[in-house]
Amino acid sequence: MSKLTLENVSYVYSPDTPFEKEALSNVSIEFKENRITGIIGHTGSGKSTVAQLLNGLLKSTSGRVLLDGQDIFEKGSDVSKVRFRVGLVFQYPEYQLFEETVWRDIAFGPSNMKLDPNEIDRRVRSAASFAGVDEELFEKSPFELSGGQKRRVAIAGIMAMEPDIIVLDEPAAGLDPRGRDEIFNGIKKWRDSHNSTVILISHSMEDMALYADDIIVMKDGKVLTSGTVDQVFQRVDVIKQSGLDIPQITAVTEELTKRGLIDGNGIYTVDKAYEKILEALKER
Amino acid sequence: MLKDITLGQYFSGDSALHRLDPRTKIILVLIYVVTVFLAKNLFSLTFLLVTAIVLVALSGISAKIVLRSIKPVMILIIFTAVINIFLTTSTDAPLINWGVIKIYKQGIVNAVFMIVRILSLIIGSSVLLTYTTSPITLTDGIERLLKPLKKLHVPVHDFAMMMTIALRFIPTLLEETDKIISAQKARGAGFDSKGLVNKAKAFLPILIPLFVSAFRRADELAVAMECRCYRGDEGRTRMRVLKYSSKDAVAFAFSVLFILVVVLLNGISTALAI
Amino acid sequence: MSEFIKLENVTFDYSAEEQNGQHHEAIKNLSLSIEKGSFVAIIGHNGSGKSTLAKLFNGILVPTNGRVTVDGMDTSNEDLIFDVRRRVGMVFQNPDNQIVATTVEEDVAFAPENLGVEPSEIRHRVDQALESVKMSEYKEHSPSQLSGGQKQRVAIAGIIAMQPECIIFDESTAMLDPQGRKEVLETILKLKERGMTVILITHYMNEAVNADRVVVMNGGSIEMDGNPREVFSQVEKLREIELDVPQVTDLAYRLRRDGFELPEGLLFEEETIGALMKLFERGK
Repeated sequence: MSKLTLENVSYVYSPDTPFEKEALSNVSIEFKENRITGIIGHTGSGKSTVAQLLNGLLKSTSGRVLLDGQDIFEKGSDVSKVRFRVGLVFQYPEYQLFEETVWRDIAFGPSNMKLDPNEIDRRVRSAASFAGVDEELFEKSPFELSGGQKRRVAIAGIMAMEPDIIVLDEPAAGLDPRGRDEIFNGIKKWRDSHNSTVILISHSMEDMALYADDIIVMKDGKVLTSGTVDQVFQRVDVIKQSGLDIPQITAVTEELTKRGLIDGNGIYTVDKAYEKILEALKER
Repeated sequence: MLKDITLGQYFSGDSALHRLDPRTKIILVLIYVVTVFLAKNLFSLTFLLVTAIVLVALSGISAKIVLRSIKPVMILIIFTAVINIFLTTSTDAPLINWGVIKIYKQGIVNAVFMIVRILSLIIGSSVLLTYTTSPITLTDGIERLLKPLKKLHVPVHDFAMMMTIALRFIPTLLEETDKIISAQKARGAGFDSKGLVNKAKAFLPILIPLFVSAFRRADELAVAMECRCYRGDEGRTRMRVLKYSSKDAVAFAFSVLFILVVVLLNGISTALAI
Repeated sequence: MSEFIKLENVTFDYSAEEQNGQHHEAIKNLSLSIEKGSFVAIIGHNGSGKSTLAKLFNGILVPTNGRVTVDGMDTSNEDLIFDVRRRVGMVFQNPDNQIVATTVEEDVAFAPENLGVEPSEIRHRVDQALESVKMSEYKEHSPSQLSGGQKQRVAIAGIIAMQPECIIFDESTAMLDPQGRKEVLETILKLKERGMTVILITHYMNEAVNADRVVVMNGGSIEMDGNPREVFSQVEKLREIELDVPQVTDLAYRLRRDGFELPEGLLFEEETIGALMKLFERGK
């Protein structure tokens, strides 16, 4: 399994022009293996820039991106190989579909890896099952599918490359609750069976509370705080400072804790809140 | 990146040129272009270049920006000049005679004329029109100038609307192209294949999504326009009313003077020749 | 209050109207009326028929069977279609695909121009509309310089300038970040305050809770219809059709089930904190 690290990375858009803008300043992140890490922040916090730096689509202005300890832009190394190892699913990925059939579209990545046809077919089928694409759809045109189905085909297209690390930028954006759950559950299943590292870019604390193991909160191109979900939710003030909304349930339990009614710092699920409140009510 | 390209760039401002009616400016540019080709001697050409420089000063746009806009066409200008120098033949004795290569005085004169013509043309028309007129005003101006053609059943309004929408969506589609290219690169797409057919094939993963998206946008925009009661130019009014003012009259007066001066200067050389 | 939009036994069969390959969900024998000045949220997952319903309200789609009237005007009467559309404006999902002109103010002027309003009156309406969505300072900006939330506010101003009596928001916040969603929701609430009839199609429950009335769509018909407290208190039923409930509603629902005395259908943080505090006091 592979280890991905950002080492003092800065990134400046349109340098030396009036539009110059520093998107990241001196960011260091070590992504833990086999875990789902959520990078969350406001629009403009630099989280989407991180996504594109991780697989070499952008080259950092200073600092290094290390894959298994090796600089991905080191002389002699092939960046396109990095892209097969670090899969990136863009926001609204359904807009990248182009092939005549669903099968061929999912197979586009693996074909570019020059794999043999049997292996490509195996990967397409496996990825489709994780992403929730029915094999009945394989011969259909991707343009005939519903929005949610298209999204899943696009995600399968990256999973089929079987990358060691998969980065997803807002994979559930614009989906209804059912579509959102299907996508996130598929990603979880994928991680469990491939032991791969997953990085989710999101602006929803609520989604990340449910699906991530670790959270990195970003603001203005810097890391504000990071840790496991439990640790980060202990620092509600820092989350608020980043301009993000905290889940309703966290706000309620924080208030009750402040008034000394329950012992419930950093609660982020209804289950936990219910348990704590019940406990406190029974004690009285 | 693609989105750094700016088409028909406009610099907002409040100079005399900015405030002219777009119709006036379109006509002035036409007059200017014709005059550039009328001018045929050193005097009239110098006058043209001076006029262009005066226009830049009037527009309040920095000379730096104007010079930068010339950069991309510099190669073209140099190329034309070189061709003129080497390929012009004349009955006079050549200035330089290196066997096959002969350079005549006439060749150099032609080259200089050509450079001045192209420079005046670019500077004059961009300062008069694109730099100082916002795309929407420009479209408005064209629509209203061509209005008489409506009687001949030319769909003038529809063309103007098409232009407006195209201008509106150029930045959106450029941004989208950037995104699609990145997304396909992330799937290992290579854009450096050899051979024409392979090259074309390599671009399908970009072109198809781009077309599909453009059509989807067109569909949605059409519905949105219908919801805002769009029905062509039937009974349509405009927020901005174009009115000729005294400024426009002054501008026209100057342009008549300008033509006269060029014709006169052209005449001087004929007079001197005699 | 008087009826403004009225649907009588409306059926919409998409096989009859497959426009440009666009797929519409069916509507089955549905009757509904929207009162003047009300704020109605329509929720349901993708494919439930909620977007088709929206398009029936202002005659973009015409029912296969049944009748839709707006202020007494039948939407299938082509002579009246512009009168219908002028009264019922619509803001769509994708902020980019509804802005026509290259500057903000020119775009807001689009509808009144189409309606043949006097130039000076257009100017007045445009200024007022931009003021009411707090976008006046951007009036000469190009749409491509704006954020998603700002673009949607421009789109709303473009509808306000038409002086409609009702505005339909067809998932207008789905593609926005939390900040943009907040901006748009605030604008919607302000419109409602000023007496505008608002129909909000959404799958975000925290938006729907602000409405006077919530209509839940499922499989092309109305599953539930009532005020937000009535609707959201039926947690089991909403779960069955794969919709979310607000976290505090879920919490209160569980505690009530255990026999604790809490008001039914709690929706907001503040009131939940208050209700829970009372519960703790009583326990003493």
